[in-house]
Amino acid sequence: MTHATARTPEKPAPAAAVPSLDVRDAAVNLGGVKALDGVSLTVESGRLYGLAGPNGSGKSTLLAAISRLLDLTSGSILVGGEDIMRRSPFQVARMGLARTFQTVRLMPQFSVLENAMLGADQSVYGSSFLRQWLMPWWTRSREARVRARAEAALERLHLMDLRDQPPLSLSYGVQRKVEIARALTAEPRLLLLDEPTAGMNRTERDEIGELLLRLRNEGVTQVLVEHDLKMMVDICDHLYVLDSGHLIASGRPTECIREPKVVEAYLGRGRRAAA
Amino acid sequence: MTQQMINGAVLCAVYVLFSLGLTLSWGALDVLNLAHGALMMFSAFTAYVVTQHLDLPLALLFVIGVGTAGVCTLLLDVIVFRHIRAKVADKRQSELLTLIAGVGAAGIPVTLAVAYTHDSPFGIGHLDWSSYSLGGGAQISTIQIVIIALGAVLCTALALWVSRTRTGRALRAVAFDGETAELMGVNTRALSAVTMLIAGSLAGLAGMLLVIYLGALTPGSGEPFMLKGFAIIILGSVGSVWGTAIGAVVLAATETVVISQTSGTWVDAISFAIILLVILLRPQGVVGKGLAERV
Amino acid sequence: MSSWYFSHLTLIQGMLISIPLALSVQIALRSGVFSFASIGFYGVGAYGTGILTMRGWPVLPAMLLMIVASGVVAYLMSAPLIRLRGLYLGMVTFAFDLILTVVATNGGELTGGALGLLGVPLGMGTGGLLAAALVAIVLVSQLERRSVGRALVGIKASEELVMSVGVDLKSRKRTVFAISAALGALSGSLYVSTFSTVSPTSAGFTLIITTLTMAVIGGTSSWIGAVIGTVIITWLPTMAATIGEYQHLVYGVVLVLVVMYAPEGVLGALRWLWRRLAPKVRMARPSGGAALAATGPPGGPPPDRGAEAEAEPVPADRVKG
Ligand SMILES: Nc1ncnc2c1ncn2[C@@H]1O[C@H](COP(=O)(O)OP(=O)(O)OP(=O)(O)O)[C@@H](O)[C@H]1O
Ligand SMILES: [Mg+2]
Repeated sequence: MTHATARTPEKPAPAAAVPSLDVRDAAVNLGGVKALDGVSLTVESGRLYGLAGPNGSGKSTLLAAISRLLDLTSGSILVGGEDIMRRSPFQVARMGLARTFQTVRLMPQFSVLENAMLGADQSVYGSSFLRQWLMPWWTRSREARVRARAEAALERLHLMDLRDQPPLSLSYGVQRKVEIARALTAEPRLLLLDEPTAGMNRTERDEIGELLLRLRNEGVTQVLVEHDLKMMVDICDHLYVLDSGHLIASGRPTECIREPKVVEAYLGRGRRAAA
Repeated sequence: MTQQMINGAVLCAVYVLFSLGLTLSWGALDVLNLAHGALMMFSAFTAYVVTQHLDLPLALLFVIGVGTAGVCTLLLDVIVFRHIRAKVADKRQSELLTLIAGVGAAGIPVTLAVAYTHDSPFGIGHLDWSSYSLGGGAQISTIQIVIIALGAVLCTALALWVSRTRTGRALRAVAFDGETAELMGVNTRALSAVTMLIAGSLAGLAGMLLVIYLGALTPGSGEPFMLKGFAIIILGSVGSVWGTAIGAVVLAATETVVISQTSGTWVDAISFAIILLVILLRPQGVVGKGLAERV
Repeated sequence: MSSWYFSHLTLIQGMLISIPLALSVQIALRSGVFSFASIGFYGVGAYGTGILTMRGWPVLPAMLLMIVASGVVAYLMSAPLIRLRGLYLGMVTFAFDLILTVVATNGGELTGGALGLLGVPLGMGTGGLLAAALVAIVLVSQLERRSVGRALVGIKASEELVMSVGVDLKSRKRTVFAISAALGALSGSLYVSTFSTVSPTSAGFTLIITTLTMAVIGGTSSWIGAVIGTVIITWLPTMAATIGEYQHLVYGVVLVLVVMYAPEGVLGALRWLWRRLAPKVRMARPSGGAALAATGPPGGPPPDRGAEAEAEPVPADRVKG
């Protein structure tokens, strides 16, 4: 709860003078495949964006490019008006970007709580390695702050009971929640979520949906990748649809998914038709 | 001059044989076998032990020596490396464990050889080969001809095997993407066994040729060869047969020149210099992954 | 007691000297850095300190100089190295260890050739060794705590992950590399000023085997593992008198077996035991049991997880850092 109260009163969503995220003509070649091909889109502060598209359409690639884990072949990406193409992934993270991964990335040696704490380390401890290494008296109070933040995030995801479990003993859906908790612990301004609800049942999905809406109301800008189109329609302010590396639709979710191109992309190929 | 070229060619042939084994398993199976050098030494050592007790013809000694290295490498793969690959899902972790297991495995032949020979040089005789004069004081002996010919023939054969035969193509498929290859019906187990057997046998052949050519090896002879193998692989890019050949030519030529110009004590440092130069000047090759043309 | 102490003094000293070296390998492996370089820096430390003290330097400054110099050199060296993919890094650092043997052998009068340095002034008592080992342990154990510990383990789990939470991956890896080298140099310096000699083979292939065995048999997940491993490997030869000249063969076999069947080492086995016992201990307490019940549907990930893993366009290989 600290998380929620710390943020909402002082920081109402800033008037969107500069878009939170601006992708300009982005292209990525992966081993001869054009995973992204001339994608341009903007993401305004404090809103929840959906990024849809059939399998292999380039959604994860786009998130990887935004978090700088993957280089663009051409084009550029701006975060808060600043070109990040020369930044390292960790620098982008320090600008307030957090993400979850499509394949869960948790540290098996550590407990759920410690995994969540990793998210806040950077912003609480800063980057001085020597202090973190050799000054236990300096780290003690910070460790408590990191722990409090992680616990607050776990609380929001109803994971407090599992805080001491090793993550690999948990179901896939729960592991995904731990990933989300880790991202929330960073208290990001821009949050990228890659299929956060894969492996979850309907109730769990709805919970996550509500959580994302609450985050949105707290002013966190989000880009959500999901195969569950119903969820996207329910919660997103805006939808972008990718197909084979191209942006094929953009607009209000309800209208967007009726566009012929989108219907064709999803149904025409018989993939995930039911979604 | 001619003499130096001959010496260089012999060196090059031995290097090619040795490095092909190293690069084959790395390229196809992601196994960097750090026991490769020790097994090369062990082939000669086994032949040496046999000669201590029996009087066998040279051809039979070769079969024993080459077979020992081949079979040991095969066993290493079947018993140890495959176990690690199957058990450890994380690619990086399994590579690391394979590396460490290779170091451990290398300790076995080296210690046996050290204990048996009291860490002194050993040879298997067969030193008297007829020489032919090439004019200008240069000479070439039968064994030198044999080594050069074997290097050239086997390298070509291996290149053809990889590029032309069905098994070779399967090998490239495994190198590209093991799981998919398996789905496509490639028997990856059999293939990795064949690869490791060939890789080990090549090390064994290099060891046998070397011990006859030089007259003797020591239990520690495998280590500098690992250095040379690394340099050649990194020059020629992992998994490439012709790249390995080119790497071997470059290394052998450089070493021959250095030996003729200096006292030769620093010759092993050349390999390391080459490794460093490649890392600093042409890092794409070692940082990225040359996927498609890896074998 | 004291007679036991004096008759085993060499072993005790050897053990204390090996601790920093085993730690140097352990911290690299723990962070998923395939580096054997610290074993080469052991040689650098041993030769450097030996050469300096034989030329009249006092022991402590000579040691300090070698440790700091090794750390700095390793930090500089690491710039190109940490970009290498796993196997290449293993290969290059392995080559680095082997080449130092060549350098030492051919170093002429400076390094004493194949015989190495003889008659290096003694300058380390057992107390000094103990102090050095303790300092190394404290420094390394601090690397496993709190934020630093999480970041380093994170590197092993997934480099993309630690970058995405704002950790400067490159600088962390370089620092680990430098610390590992400094620990190696420390161990070498201690060795030469305790036993007054060092030869080219003492930092060669057999040392790689021994050190890896120490680190891996104990378990690389914590400094405790390195210490356990060092203790075991130091005392193993005395337990089985027959090992003798086959020492490295036994190490080799042990190393292979541990890697195959217990890659987490003794420590992993202890943890596993604890995990089996811990729930029972918790059950015994009145409140703790409820936590377990709340766990979601049991069992591992759904079967399609492997396929998804392939789909993600950020494989470790193409990650920049
Ligand atoms: N490492 C890689 N090497 C080569 N091609 C890749 C790699 N990763 C992804 N691709 C290709 O890039 C394209 C985009 O992949 P991406 O993972 O971004 O799709 P996605 O929209 O996230 O799909 P999904 O819904 O399955 O997660 C696909 O055609 C995929 O095959
Ligand atoms: Mg995806």
